[in-house]
Amino acid sequence: MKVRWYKVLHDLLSNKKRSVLVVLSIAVGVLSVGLATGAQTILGRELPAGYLTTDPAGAKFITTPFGDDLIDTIRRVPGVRDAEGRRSMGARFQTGPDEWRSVSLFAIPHFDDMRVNKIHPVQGAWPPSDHEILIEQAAMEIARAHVGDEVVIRMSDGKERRLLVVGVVHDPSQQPATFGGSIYGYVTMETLEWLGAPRDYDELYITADPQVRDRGEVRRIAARVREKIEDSGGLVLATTVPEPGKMTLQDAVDAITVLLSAFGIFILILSGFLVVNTLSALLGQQVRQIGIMKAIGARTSQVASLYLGIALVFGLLGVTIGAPLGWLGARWLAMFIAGIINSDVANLSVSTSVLGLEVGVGLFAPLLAAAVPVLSGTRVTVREALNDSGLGRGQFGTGWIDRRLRAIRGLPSAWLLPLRNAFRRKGRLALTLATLSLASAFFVAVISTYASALLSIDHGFEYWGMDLMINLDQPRRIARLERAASQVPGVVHVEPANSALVNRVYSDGTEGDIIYLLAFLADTASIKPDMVDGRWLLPEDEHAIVITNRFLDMDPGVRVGDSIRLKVMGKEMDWQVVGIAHLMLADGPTVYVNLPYLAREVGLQGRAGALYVHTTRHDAVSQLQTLQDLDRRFRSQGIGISSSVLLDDLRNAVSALFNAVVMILMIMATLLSVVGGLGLTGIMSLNVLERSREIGVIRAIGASDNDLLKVILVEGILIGLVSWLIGCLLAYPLAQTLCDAVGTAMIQTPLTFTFSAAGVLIWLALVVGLTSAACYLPARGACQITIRETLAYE
Amino acid sequence: MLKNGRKRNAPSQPGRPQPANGSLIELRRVVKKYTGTAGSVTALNGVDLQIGVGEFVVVLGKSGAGKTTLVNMITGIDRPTSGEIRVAGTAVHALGEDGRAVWRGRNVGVVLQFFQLLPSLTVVQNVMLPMDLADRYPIPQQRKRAMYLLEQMEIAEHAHKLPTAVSGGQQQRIAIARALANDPPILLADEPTGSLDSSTARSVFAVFQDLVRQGKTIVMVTHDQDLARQAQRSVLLADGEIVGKWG
Repeated sequence: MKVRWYKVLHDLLSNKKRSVLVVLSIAVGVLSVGLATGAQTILGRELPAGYLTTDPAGAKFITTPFGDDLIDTIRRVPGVRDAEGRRSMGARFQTGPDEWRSVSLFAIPHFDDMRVNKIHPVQGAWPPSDHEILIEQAAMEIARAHVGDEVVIRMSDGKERRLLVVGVVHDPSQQPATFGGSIYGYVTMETLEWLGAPRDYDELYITADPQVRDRGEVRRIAARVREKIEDSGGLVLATTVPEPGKMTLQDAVDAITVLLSAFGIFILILSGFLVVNTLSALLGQQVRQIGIMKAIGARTSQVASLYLGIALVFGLLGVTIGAPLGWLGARWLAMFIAGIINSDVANLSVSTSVLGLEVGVGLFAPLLAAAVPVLSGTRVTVREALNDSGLGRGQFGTGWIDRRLRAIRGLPSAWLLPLRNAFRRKGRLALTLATLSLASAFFVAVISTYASALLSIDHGFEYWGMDLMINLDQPRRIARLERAASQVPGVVHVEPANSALVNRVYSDGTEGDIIYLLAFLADTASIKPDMVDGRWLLPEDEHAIVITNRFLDMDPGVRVGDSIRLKVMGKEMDWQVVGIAHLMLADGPTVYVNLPYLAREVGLQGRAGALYVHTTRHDAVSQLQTLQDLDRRFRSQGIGISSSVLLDDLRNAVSALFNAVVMILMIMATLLSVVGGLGLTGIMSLNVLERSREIGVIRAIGASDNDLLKVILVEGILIGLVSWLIGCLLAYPLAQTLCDAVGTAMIQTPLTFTFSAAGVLIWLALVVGLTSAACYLPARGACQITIRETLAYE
Repeated sequence: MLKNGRKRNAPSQPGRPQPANGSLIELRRVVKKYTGTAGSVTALNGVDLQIGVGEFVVVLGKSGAGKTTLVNMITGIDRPTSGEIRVAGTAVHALGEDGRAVWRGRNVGVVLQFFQLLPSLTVVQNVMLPMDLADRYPIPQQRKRAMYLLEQMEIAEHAHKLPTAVSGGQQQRIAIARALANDPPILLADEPTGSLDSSTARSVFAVFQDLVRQGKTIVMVTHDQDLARQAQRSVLLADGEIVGKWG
């Protein structure tokens, strides 16, 4: 090894604490980049690939009953690659003594020859035999069931059947059960018939030819399929054409991983600030050594290469620590995110490009950070370097800020000294403040995003005025329902409602995506629509419809006063848009119409298929108790409940989704804080080292360990407080941006923004703790230096 | 005194520059002005000086007379404001900062004030460093030559210590060994005995005398009149001008 590299080695080892801080800081930066980009790569590769292995449906049709002959006909429609019929049925699943949850039962005709929306066995038996059930993996927890358990299914007519849970499956086509609160079960056609459903199909799934990748083209194929169904005498009640190849929540995953990658790169940049500070300090200390080397023949490039070599070694060590952690972290994060959206990741390998990126940025960022101080520090002439007394750098008193600080009078010296010390190295202070301020800003912004998410959930749930929703086995007379419900303790009020899945029919005859149509009484107390344009429904309205922001996401051109045509239960109906409401939380495009008018138009006058119940108490226990009492009362009167939703369950499910996203953001904010803390520890160590002689003088004139500790801790805490203040100012716009990004990714609408005062105060406490901890080591180090050593320090 | 009192065969002999005329070092009307916040200061004011091959020249003068500036001009550590400096045929004043560094590394041995050893390198590594920077020898030969030079300076037993672990006199010998690393024909020493006791100073001076006997040209700055008297030639500087010459 060349002699000059011994110097590099010695410089690295001579101040191990400083080197460790820089290496750890780079490692955290590399870890952050690896974590985010690794997870993004794994998810970007595995989620679509895994989804495509299920042969996802290009279109789904809800129809009147049909048989295998229609499926054969559909398979011959141009553009259709394959088709499969299924039947689904809503029922209730016993999860505890007198506790029931909604279950969607899917009857699959050929488990070993599924063509579309394939489900995969995860555990237990495959395929199920008669009177057996497979449960979707994400629903196992809410079902409180295990393989081998016998479970009770209650049909809407009140009949109960026992099914044996024989296995667990994964169905990527379904929204995770944890979000919707409904259990998904898979049975044979025979089992469903035994449970009381007809044997024929009522759902048709098709896949389009592989070369068809355009949604418009799939819609045209779907239109041809619809014609065939209607030619055969059937009726299409609703059609869904999802974005080809795009799984549920794909946009949310993409948005979150892009956000994480941005975070990661940002953390790496901030970790580079410590490299800048450290190498600036090192070069400052070694000006004379640079002069000596030049005096004995070293070129500027040779000297610069030594210090860049130090940065390179920092980077190499940082990569050595950070890259494996980033690799492990990326795998964990990918599994965590995949778990949230109920997807499987078959291959957790992190691509070499990600490792290359980690190594590249881990080496390049410190070199880039070091370039400025190294190039300016090594350009010093030999004479300047040899004449360098070590003074004149970081001196106080010449600048504008110094003059202002000098004007401060009356403070005890224990406060005045750290106050002035903090501003001695303004460039270094600026970089440290930048790191800590941005850490503060991100932390407060993430907490504010969480607070905004909670507020958005509150706002979203303010929309609902009732406590539980009940879907009935069939449309029932409203008067009878009200009479039966009024006899149940805890029920204050019930409201009839109807819902249907409908499609918009365009002027060219094509049909749009599925729309949720909700029919209420105009003076409903069950929902509180937030009108942004036009008006709400009036009791006398007939063709009036209120659309929502989610409808406008699908069809942005529709305005109040426009006329739209919807296919409702197979019947095309024209509606006049009278208002636009804003929905915070909704699964998709939603519209509202007047219940009496719709009921009359579809022949269900005086009847309702759903009941919205208002209870005296609104807690989860009371809601559940009322549901159980209603269930008993309705059954005793021959009224079947096909499914039910407790508002509290819905809130918990939505909260769980936001909590997961905020947790991921909080991990990144924590890493950012770690980099900030390391940066501050680094700067305080450098400050103490450079002021060793000064410390010696202070000690020589009688300063105790406590006095020294106080001076250094106060300086660090002061920096922390300034960064807190700047960070809080930056946090406001940052939090707004984050709320828009997270809201748009998760619920397709920006979150209701609130700036978290609690977050500001929590970070204030944390920053004081963090800065105290960051300064403690350097302060202890200063106390341990003897006066003789400090005065001898060069 | 150098070990054995005379030069032994060195492990290698790099090529030496030859003077263009009789003088190895030639300064013509060299002026150096420094401009600072307090105004302009003339450190050298039209200095003319010629030094021949194998001469031992001592530069004397009070503090601020311009002695170090004069040495810095010859070594290329600093540039003149005007005038010419030719060393072994090279117009040093015309070279850039990096060019002067490369030239210095190969042609001039510099012994700086206060030893100026790198504290992070061992004694032998300090001596090897100029060879490394100049890419003069393969690494094993660098070590061999450094040990040879340390033996010459009678401090080989301290080769693997850090500079802070040896005495001031020994540090100065290490600095001289380092200056000789690339076997330069010229050695410039800026107050090499200034921070040494008189006995150690005499011993270091003896080393220089031995080097002159071996054919080196030496320019040494000193305050010490007694040592100056033992040199072949002395130059007295005052207020940036040569006011006296002896020898």
